[in-house]
Amino acid sequence: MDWPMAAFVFLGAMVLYSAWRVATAPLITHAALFLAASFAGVAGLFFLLEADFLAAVQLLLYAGAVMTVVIFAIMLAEMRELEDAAPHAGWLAQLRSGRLGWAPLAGSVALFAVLVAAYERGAAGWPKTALPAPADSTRFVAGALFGPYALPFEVASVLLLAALVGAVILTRVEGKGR
Amino acid sequence: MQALGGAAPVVVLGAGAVLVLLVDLLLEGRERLLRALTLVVLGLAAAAALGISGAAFSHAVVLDPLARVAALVAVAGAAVAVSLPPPVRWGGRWSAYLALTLWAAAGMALAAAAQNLIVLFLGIEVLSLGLYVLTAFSLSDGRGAEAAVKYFVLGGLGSGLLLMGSALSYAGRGSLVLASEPAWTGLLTSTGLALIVAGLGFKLALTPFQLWTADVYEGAPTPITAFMAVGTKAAAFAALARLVMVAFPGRLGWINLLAVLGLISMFVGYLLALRQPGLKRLLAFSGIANAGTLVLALLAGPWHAVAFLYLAAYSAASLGAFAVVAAVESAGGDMDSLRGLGRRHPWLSAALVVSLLSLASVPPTGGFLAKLLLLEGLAQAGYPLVAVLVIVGAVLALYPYFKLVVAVLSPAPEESCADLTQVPMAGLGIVAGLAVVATLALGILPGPVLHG
Repeated sequence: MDWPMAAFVFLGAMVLYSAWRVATAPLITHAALFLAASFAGVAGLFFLLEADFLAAVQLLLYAGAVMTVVIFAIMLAEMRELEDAAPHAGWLAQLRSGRLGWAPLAGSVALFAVLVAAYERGAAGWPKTALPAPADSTRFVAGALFGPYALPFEVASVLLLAALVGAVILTRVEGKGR
Repeated sequence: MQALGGAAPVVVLGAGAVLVLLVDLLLEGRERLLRALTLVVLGLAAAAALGISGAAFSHAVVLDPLARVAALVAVAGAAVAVSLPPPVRWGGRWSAYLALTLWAAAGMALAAAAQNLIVLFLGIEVLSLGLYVLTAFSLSDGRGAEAAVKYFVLGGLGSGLLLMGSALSYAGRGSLVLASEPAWTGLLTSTGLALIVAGLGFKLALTPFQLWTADVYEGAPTPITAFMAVGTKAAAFAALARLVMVAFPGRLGWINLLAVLGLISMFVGYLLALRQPGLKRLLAFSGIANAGTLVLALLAGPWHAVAFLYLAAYSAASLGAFAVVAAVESAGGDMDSLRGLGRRHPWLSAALVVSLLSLASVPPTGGFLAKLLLLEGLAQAGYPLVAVLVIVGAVLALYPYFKLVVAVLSPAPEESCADLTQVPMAGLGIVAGLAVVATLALGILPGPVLHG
């Protein structure tokens, strides 16, 4: 195993394990820290792909700014002590405890297997060696962002604004404020 | 607005929402003014949708007849959501309600006009996010919060499938553009295509992706239910139709899959509608069945005229029915209080009856003509069996609608019927009246819709 492969395996495992722990960590502050670890792992994956600009943005914005905001929100809303109210059964027991028992889990695993099989067979004809990355990836990203993808870029900000307004409305305590 | 090209309706709606929030900030919550401003924005967007056509933003969106009809339906739905009386007082939160409604309509118009998968996904997300929040808008009502959580989780699953499908088809085709070149063939692309259809099926409430529909329609505030029932369907249908146009031609397996999906939705919707006690749940299952029938319209060629008429007729009838539901609800009544409504409130009852008859495809309404043209199209396109099954479905549908019509028209003691004299009728009357006029006009003079 050469070193990029080893790095890929390590980063991939880190991203997946952290994401899993985000959903299962009993303390919400721990979940936030695992989220940061997951973001950092994705930044590492971008570095491996020689997308240096995206890696830096991922690290600065997600692992940095977004995480700061998440931690602030947790502190301000005094949710530090928020613990998982559910009884601490094993994760497998929790997953199959719904009304239909094993069915949702089996369905998810089947869908996952189909996707993996489709990828395995569909990607068989792909080039085995890496394509050369653009020399100046920042310029490349900028050209795409303000050229063909200008509209999605702007709509994404509308999406964030709508989410922000919605979050403010839904979390405002009834009876307080005007 | 001309300079914005095909993106004009989306930009007007999106910017209008910001304007509503700013005006509220400066003038401190004048409810009437804000509502009037929102209606002006919606009017401008409708004018833009009617008056402008063509591409915009490096061909990211195109305002063609398909996008135009969907945008107009979305704008009409939003106008109804703004005009109907809300079931509870919302105090200072009017501006957010109006802004989120406008944003959701912008998302609908965007998804309907999208020319690549990124824009499609973002449009679907903007419309969904607005509707998640609007569903939970009456916080004091536990059912609304429960409906919103259900909608959020299952809607998130639908969005995830759409995103995964887009990624796989990008991996397979090397392009995100919704065009017939590069071809939609190969294992990866086909898997992606299936996931995209499933994701749009969630938004369109097609069986087997319809599980959220009844609870969400029932729990959401009725004006929002009306908006969601017509707007989301129009946007998701336009996106699905675009996908079918570029990816399905000449591929019999996919077209058959579409027929099966449409037929299952139609039958499940109508069969479950048979045993629904409430009008809102009945309309939810009617929505599922009509979404299925709309998908069948994609089989009939030239499909767009039939589909446009069907979409317009379904939207007008649904909006009319929901307007009456909103009236009864804001008077504190439930569905039992529809009994004897005909005696006490003849005009409102007439609107409800016309809408229900259109949903049941009875002449001379738009619903009847749309279904007739659909049958003709299906028979001519070589799907006689599908046409027969559509007739069976239409017969099944008669029972639940007629049961309600009989209840409304039956003589009953005055006390059991909802008293609507205290309900502010201005907006409501206009909505119900316009819906009835549209329903009848579509049945008698369908020309403008049929010819794009």
